[in-house]
Formats: sequence, structure tokens, C-alpha cells
Amino acid sequence: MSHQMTPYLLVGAALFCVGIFGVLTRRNAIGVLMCIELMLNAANLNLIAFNRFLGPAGNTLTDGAVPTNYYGPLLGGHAFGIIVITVAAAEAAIGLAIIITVYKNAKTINVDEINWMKW
Amino acid sequence: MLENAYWIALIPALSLPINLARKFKEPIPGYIGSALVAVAWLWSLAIFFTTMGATEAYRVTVPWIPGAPSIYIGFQIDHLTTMMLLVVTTVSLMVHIYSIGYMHGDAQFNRFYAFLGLFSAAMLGVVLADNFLLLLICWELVGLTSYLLIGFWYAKPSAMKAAKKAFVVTRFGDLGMLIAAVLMWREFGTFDYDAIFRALPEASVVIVGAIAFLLFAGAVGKSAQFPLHVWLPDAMEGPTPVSALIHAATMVAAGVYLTGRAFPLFEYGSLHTFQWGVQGMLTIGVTPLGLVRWLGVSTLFLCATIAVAQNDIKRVLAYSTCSQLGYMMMGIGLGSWVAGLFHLMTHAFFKALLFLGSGSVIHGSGTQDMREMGGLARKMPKTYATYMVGYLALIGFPLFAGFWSKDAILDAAHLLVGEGAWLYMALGLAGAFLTAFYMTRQMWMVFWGDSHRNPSIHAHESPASMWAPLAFLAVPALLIGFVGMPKMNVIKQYLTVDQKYSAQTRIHTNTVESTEDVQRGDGRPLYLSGRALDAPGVDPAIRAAHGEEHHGPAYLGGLNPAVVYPGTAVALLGLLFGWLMYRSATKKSVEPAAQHAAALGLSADHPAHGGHDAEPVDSAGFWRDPLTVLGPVWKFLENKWYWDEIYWAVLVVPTLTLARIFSWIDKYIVDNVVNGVGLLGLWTAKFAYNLFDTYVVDGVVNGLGLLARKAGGELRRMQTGRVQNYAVVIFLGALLLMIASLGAFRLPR
Repeated sequence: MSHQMTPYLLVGAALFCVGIFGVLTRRNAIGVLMCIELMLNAANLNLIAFNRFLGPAGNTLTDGAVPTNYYGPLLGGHAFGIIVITVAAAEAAIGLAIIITVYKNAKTINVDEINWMKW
Repeated sequence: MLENAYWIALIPALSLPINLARKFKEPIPGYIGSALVAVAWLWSLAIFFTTMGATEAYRVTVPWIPGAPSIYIGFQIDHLTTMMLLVVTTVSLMVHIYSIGYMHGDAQFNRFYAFLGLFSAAMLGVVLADNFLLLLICWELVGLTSYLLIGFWYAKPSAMKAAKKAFVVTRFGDLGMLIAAVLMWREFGTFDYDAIFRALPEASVVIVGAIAFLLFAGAVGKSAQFPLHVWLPDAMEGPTPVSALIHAATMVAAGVYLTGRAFPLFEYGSLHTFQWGVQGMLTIGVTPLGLVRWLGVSTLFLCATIAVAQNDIKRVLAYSTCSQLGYMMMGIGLGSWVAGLFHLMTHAFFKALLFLGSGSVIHGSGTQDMREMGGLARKMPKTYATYMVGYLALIGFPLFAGFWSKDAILDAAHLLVGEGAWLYMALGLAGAFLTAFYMTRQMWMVFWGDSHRNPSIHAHESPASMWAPLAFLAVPALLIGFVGMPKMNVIKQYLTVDQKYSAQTRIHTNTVESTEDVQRGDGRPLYLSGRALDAPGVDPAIRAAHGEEHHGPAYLGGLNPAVVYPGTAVALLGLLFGWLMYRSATKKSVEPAAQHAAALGLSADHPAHGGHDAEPVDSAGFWRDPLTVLGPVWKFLENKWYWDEIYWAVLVVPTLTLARIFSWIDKYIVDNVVNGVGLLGLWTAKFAYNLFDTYVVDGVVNGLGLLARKAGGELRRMQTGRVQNYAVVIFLGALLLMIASLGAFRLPR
């Protein structure tokens, strides 16, 4: 068998699930942020894999030949991945800023204890 | 003058508002009423003289109630109408003038003249109408005013009972007329005399016969024919001028006028004999004309026999009127409507004369009971002289008015052929005999005879306002009969001549194309042409009417000897019998008064003997009529053949019983049902309020509120304030979306 896409997607899915699990269960707010990063990176993996195996240049079905009527980007997935990394970085910065502000008010970063919006 | 002739009817009606709006002082309402009627009288005279020779009738008709077809209102002036106008206005004027004296002192003098004027207007409306609907309207108005006038002295219970009786009994007849009007509309689509008569050849004989029967029902009621004769004698409760005007000369004549006017309907309807009774078993054949003459002759005889046994001067005249109306109806029923209407005219004059004369007698002697009168000829000469004229006219004394008209009717009876035709002549002659008899009896009891039996009566002559009309009426009572002399037969020519409408007629109907040929009268009319008058089932009177007339020799003035000799002989025989019987009965006897009184056990100053009268008296102290020897027969006649009692038992008692039953049902059943329904509503309301509204409705409303609160109270627990919990929810939602995108939640195909 030729090179398959499936293992890459599986790794991405596994990472995503680990990330979800962490977002939902970790007590530490920074831990939650780290798991969010994990999820984003898992999504990145998916994007790269799709571009490599299903994209116009590396398409396994057409033996890597670009169709003649295609005028779009050849490395769209990769470019999207870089943008996601950028956005993740910005979002992590903002998230940390929020955590610092919350810590200044609540003196704790245990998400279980930050429940002032409760009924 | 002809164009506005409808004002003849409206001018006397003005007496009503004028006299009721303001109560003028005593003789003024009399002058106002008399003046208004005098205008109508003069106008009628003018019309008579200007149209005397005319051969065309004049008519004005305008649309009244629009529709398809429309209803019209209008009047006509033809010779029949003119004759009736003269009769009605003359008698009405005489009564108006007479009442100035008679009703003197009455507190409601103005009301009397108001009603009198209204009556005159209504009667003139009946006569002037040119269609049956207008006739019916004025007919009802005449009935109303009759009620008002009979019950004029409304405080007297007997007067009110009499007024009610008159109205209710004539209502029976009017019901028939209403049905006839409906039938007329269905069959002809119009109420016009002219249009109906011209449409007769194509009409159904059976329907026209039915219409004739029903119209005659109205005439039977209004003209007091048997079996609806019972109201007329009771109507004498009204003032005597009312009796003279309404119940002698005009209103009761309306029935005869209607029968005469609608004669073509009767004639056409008599082409077919109607079978009454059970099919196949007992049937009797009758035609409209047959019924007319049968009821006429029955009334004639019945009322003449009753009149013999009456003691009230007005009742004798009332029954005499009934009887004479029977003559008129018989005349029409025998086919000679001319004879019937001729007798109507003569009768109106001499009967009004007699009634007004009786009023003068009552006024002068203070009593109405003839047994207390006597010898008034010397005390009231002018009344006596005019009464004589009326008396001779009524009994048919040769050359007076009644002689000619009665002879005309008997002549028609003579012409009838068929089974039982002799009966009409025989009963007509018997009626003439009885008429002469009872009138002679009355003359003896009132005027001749030795002196009044009640000494407290100081009889005096009446004032000029009362005897002058009497004198005026005596002239036609004497002379008017000559227009009926068969040799020239002026009246017959007069009544049968106008066959066409004149060029000045304005008829605004949209169905009349030409004004040709009003068919009526003795000429061979259009509606009978082509039909054999000898066919079986055709009324013999029609044959008689269109057959040859037997005119007698010139020395008799054209009278038929086979009719006039028996007729006159019978009248003179009646006179003779009455003369002989009552001359001795009303004579003073030579027996001393005191002995006589003692024999009866009466005190010396009892009015029965009074010192100078000693006639045979009965146990009540009243003079005893020689005919009382007839015992039960006399009682039978005196009690009017017990018809009032029969009607009471057969009609009134069941009706009152039924009324009581319905009253009981209404009070105990209907009212309880109504109350029950009310209670049901109340109970439902209470239930609705207490149970339903309080528990159910409020419960739902409150429950919804409670539900919202509780739901809110539980659902808010979702807001834990923890971000991770919210993240779980988002994740679960995303999971669901993912599964849905794979097609798990699609509906099966």
C-alpha cells in the first residue's frame, strides 16, 4: 500500500481528544489554556495532512499532477496552519492576561472556585 | 268638479279633527258637521244632474303601492255610484240636522258629530272606491265607526256589549272578504273592478265562485243577514240618529251595494253549481246567486216574524230593516240586481224617516216601550204625519215608494223557474203580509189607540230641528218610487246604461290600453257570451235575468198583474188583520179602573190603570198583546227564535272555556317554564362562578404562573458560573451536530 493519510488524521484526533479532556477536567486555568493549544495543534495536523494527501499538488489520486483548471494556492493547508499558529499565540496571550486579572481578584486560579456568575 | 270628486268623501271626515281638537259649545259642532255634509250633498246633487244623461263613466286611478303588479287607489263616478252618493249624503245630512235637536244636552255633543262625520266619510269612500282593496279599507272603517257610535254612551254596559257584538259578528264576514281579496289577487293580479270584470271570460269559474261566496260572507255580516243578523237589534243601544243613519240606511246597505257592484262575479260564478257536503252521500248544490237569494229569503221571513213580537219601538224597526235587507238580497240573488238596489234606495229614505220619527216619539214621550205609548197622533202631529208616509211606504201601499221597489223584487221572484222557485214568491208575499201586520200593530200601539197608558208621560212635539228632516225625507218616501215604474223603468235604464269610460278618465295603471267596454248590466255581457245559459249546473236566476221581462198593461203602469195583484192584496190583508186585531186591543175598556185594579191586587195609583185606562193587563202591569194567546209561539218569536241563546251556547261558551283553559296553561305551565329557564340560567351562572371560574379557570392561570416560576427555579441551576461546565455543554452540542451531519437524525424515507 502506498503512503496513507489515515495515521496522520488518527494522531490529530487523538491529540484533539486529549486536549478536550484536559479543557474539561483540569483545575488549573493555565492547564486549560495548554490543552486549548493542544486542540489547536491537533487541528493544524489535520490541515497539513489534508493538503499533503488531498491537495492539488500532492494528490494521491491523480499521482501528484495539478489539474489544468486549478488556479488556487498549492499550499493552502500549510498556509492556513501557520495562520492558526499565529492566532493561537495571540489567543494564549490574551488568555494569560485574563488569568492574571482573575488571579488579582480571586487570589486563585482554580477554575472550580471562579463561579461568581452562578445563579 | 268631477276630477276632485274624491273630496266628497274627505270633506265630512274633516268633522273628526275639527270637533275633537277643540270642544266647541253645544250647537256649533252640529252646524259644522251639517255644513260639511251639506257640501258633500250639494256636490253629489251637482254630479247627479250633470251626469244624468251621460253614457260613460268617469274614473281616476293613481298608483299607490309600487310593485309588480302595483296597487292602485282611485275613485269612479258612474250611475250606480251617483245613486249611492245621493242616498248616503241625503240621509246623512238629515241625520246631522236632526241630531242638533236630538242630542241636545249630551255632554259629548262634539264627539258625536266627529264620529258621525267620520262614518259619512267612510261610507262615501266605500261607494266611491274603484277597486276592491279600497272598498275593503273603507268597509273596515265603516265597521269601526259603527262600533264607536253604537258604544257612544260608553258608560252604559249594555251599549258596550252591543258594540262589541256588532264588531265581532261583522268580523266573521270581514274574514271572508279578506280571503276573497287574496283569491282575487291570485287569480286576477289586480283589485280593479274594471280589470277584473274584463278578465272574467278567461277566469276559472270555480275560483270566481269562491270569491263571490266569500265576498257575500262580508255582505252577510255587514247587512245583518241570517245567520249574522244577531248584532243589528242590539245595535239599537246606540242613539236613534245613529240607528237611522247606520243601521237603516247606509252601513247595512253597504253589503247590498257590494253584492250589486260585484254582481258580474256572482253571475259568472253561478255558471257552475258547487256541491257542498259529503261526496257520494249527502250533497247539496249551491251557486253564489243561489246562496244570496236563499239567505235573503230566510232573513226576510225570520226577521219579519220576530218583528211581530217586539215591544220596543226601535227593535221593531231594526228587525224590519233586517227583513227588508233580506228582500234586497233576494232581489239580487234572483238575478235582478237593479231591483235589489232600487229597493235599497227607497228603503234608505223611508227607513231613515221611520227611525228618525221613532226618535222623535222617544224624545217626546220619554219612553221606548210601545206598551206605554198610545194616542200620540194628536200630541205629535208633525211626527205622526211623516211617520204615516214612512209607514205606508214600508208596507208597500200602492203608489208609495216601497210599493214599486217591492214589486220589482217580487217580479224577479216570479221569473225564476226551477225546483222550489215558488217558495221565493210565497215567502216574499208572506213577508209583505207580516210587514204590513206588524207595522199596523206599531201604528196602533203608538199613534192610534185611545191614549197613552202611562199617565206620567206628557207627550209633546219635537223641535223644528227634528221634524224638519222628517218632512224632507217624506218627499222621497212618497215619490221616489216612481222612477221604478216598469213602463219606462227610469231606474233600470239609469243603472244599466254606462258601459264605457269617458275620454276624460285618467287611469294611470300600466295595464290598461283602452278605456272600452266596462261590461256590466243586463245586456248580453262579454263574459257570458259563448256559454249556454241553459246548460245544467247554471243558476236559473241567470236565465231569468237575461230572459224576457213580462211587462203588464199600460193602465197598471207596466206592472205585471200576476205579481202586483197578489203583492198588494197581501199587504192590504196584513193591514186589515193588524187593524182589526189591535183596534180593539188598544181601545179603552168600560170596566171601572178601581175594580180592575182590585181584581189584580194592585194599588189604586198603579200605572197599569192610572184612572183612565183599563185595558187588559198582565201580571207585570203591562198591557197584554192579543197575540200572546199563541203562548209558546209568541215566546219563541219574542225571544228572537232563541238565536242569541244558541250562539251563546254553541260559540261563546266554548270560546270562553277555551280561553280559560289557555289562561290556565299560560299561568301554570308557560310561566313556570319561563321561570324555570330563568332559574336554569341562574344556576348555570352560579356553577360557572363557584366551580368553574374559581377552580378551573383560575387554576389554569395560576398554574401557568407557578409552572413558569418552578421551571425557572430549576433551570437556573444550569448557570453554575463555572466556565468548564459551559464548555461541556458546547462540546456536547458540537458532538450532536457532528452526528446529525452524518445523517443520524434524518426522518425515514
